[in-house]
Amino acid sequence: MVSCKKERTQDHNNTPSLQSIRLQLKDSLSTIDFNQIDLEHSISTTIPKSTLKFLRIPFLNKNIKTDFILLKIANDGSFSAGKIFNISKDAEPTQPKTIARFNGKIQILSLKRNLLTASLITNGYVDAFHIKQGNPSSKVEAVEIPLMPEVVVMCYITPDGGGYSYYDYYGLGSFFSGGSSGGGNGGGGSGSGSGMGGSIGGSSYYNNSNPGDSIGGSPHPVHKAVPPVIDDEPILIDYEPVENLEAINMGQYLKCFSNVPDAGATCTIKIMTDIPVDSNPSEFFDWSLGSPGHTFLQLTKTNGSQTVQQNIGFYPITGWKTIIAPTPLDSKFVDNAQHEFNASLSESLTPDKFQGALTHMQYLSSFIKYDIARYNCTDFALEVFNYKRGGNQLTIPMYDIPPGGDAPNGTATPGGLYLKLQEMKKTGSAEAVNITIPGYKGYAGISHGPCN
Amino acid sequence: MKAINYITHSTVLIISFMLVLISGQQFGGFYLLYIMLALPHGGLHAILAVMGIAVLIFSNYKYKRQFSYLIEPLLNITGAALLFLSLFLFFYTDKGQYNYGTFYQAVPIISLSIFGLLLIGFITNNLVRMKLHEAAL
Repeated sequence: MVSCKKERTQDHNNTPSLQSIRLQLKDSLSTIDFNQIDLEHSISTTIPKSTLKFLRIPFLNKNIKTDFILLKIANDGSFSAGKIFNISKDAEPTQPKTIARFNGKIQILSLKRNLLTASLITNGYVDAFHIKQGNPSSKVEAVEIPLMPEVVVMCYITPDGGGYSYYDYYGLGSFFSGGSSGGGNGGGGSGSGSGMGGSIGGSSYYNNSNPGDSIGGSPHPVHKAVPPVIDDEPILIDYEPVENLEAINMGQYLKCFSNVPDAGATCTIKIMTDIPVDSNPSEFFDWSLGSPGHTFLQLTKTNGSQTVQQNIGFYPITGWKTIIAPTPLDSKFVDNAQHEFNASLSESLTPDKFQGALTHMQYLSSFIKYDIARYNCTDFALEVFNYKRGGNQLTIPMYDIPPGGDAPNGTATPGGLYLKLQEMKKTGSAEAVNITIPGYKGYAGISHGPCN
Repeated sequence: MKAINYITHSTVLIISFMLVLISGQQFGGFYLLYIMLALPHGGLHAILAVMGIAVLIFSNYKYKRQFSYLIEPLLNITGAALLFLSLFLFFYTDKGQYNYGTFYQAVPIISLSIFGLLLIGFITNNLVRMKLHEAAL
């Protein structure tokens, strides 16, 4: 599900000046707090590939894991923002541990100790930062990124190989930005590490809640930069979704839209492309995996507080037959919730036209078969997307795909769709505003699921 | 005995290896195809596969299954290990589990199992030959 890698910090030029920070804090903190801070044991963190720098300051006689001041350091070494944190972890279940998760409480206070947030932490997610599950409208507004937790538990094999050690890691950036939404901790949309969390794609940087814990086992080495401030390098944790490819019942998925009244409803259909090689859009095939990428549709209908969203993609039932079997293959439709994507084009439709597109989808699902060269996921998505576009058809460049590429006019590929959308965006097409191209990659939102 | 000679033959192992069926989400086929696709791009699993096949062919061509020298079973085991490593890496590096349908669909599972059984038989046979060779010395 996730993997992590360590990246070295880029530069340490804006190493916080303890003296100037001490002076700033004297003005910002209460006298009691100021007398209790242990500035000499502060921990500095630079988020790689960004200018973000944080300083964690412990309190005297308190564990930095539970009580600390978090400052955002500006380029001149002073701090531009700061908050006081109190984080407590619930008692953990008895051994043996199979899944390590962080549950507990968090209090975030201003430097003057005004309460900003008090929340439970559930499975690493600060509840207050995230959408209430019972609110359907909020669910759909979930940004097209995975919602990375604010706290993760990392497991390391002990040096003697005889057991495991668990460490809590905090996404410091998300504590400032208030969670994943809005390009914070998850940050899939920006792809450039511009979010507060310094995120790249569906990734976030995390720091050991107490770097001192790891000394001895050395799973996460800590080295001192300018003593006595500890320079703690964050680790990058990637989001690698594993999809459920079970076939869905198209009728049950589309039926949910009829639960939202047509009058006054806004409807959109979005075509989303996931290119095979994220770092090279001109590659139409991932040669190492044998993947041509994927194209799918995101359908959304909103009326007031009611919203239904479905992500649907087209697949062969048996992938191994695509090259071996000469005829088109039996197909299935899959819920592509949170599927990775590299570009998308959305179109607003009237409820009537939207219903027309849904009816066409339902009709197609009753008989279409999969052919990697002649009718694949991109062909299906384009057919539905173009169904109500009249003369303004979205056409994409066709390419010969080497394995099984026997289509006389070439094959519609996710890569071809990406290039088309990229070109439309670059040339300032009338629909450019409806095109989303995340810097690296993003993730589709969630799906409502079936309705009976 | 004759049957064992056939099923522990390196050619049979190589063929079963190339005919392992891979089932991707949208694309699939014999593993041979994946090797050929990745080889020009320097895919590690493809390089390992080619090396494994080359070692097995060389061993078979050079020693003609005489097992007169210790090097022959050693080469055979090395070749078989490379084939296994190639397949292992192919799936191991597949972080998005794009080709994991191979483990859930009957026909790919059968093809994978046949290769697995032949691989075990082949390695066992060569280990026995090594022991016999050592005993003869």
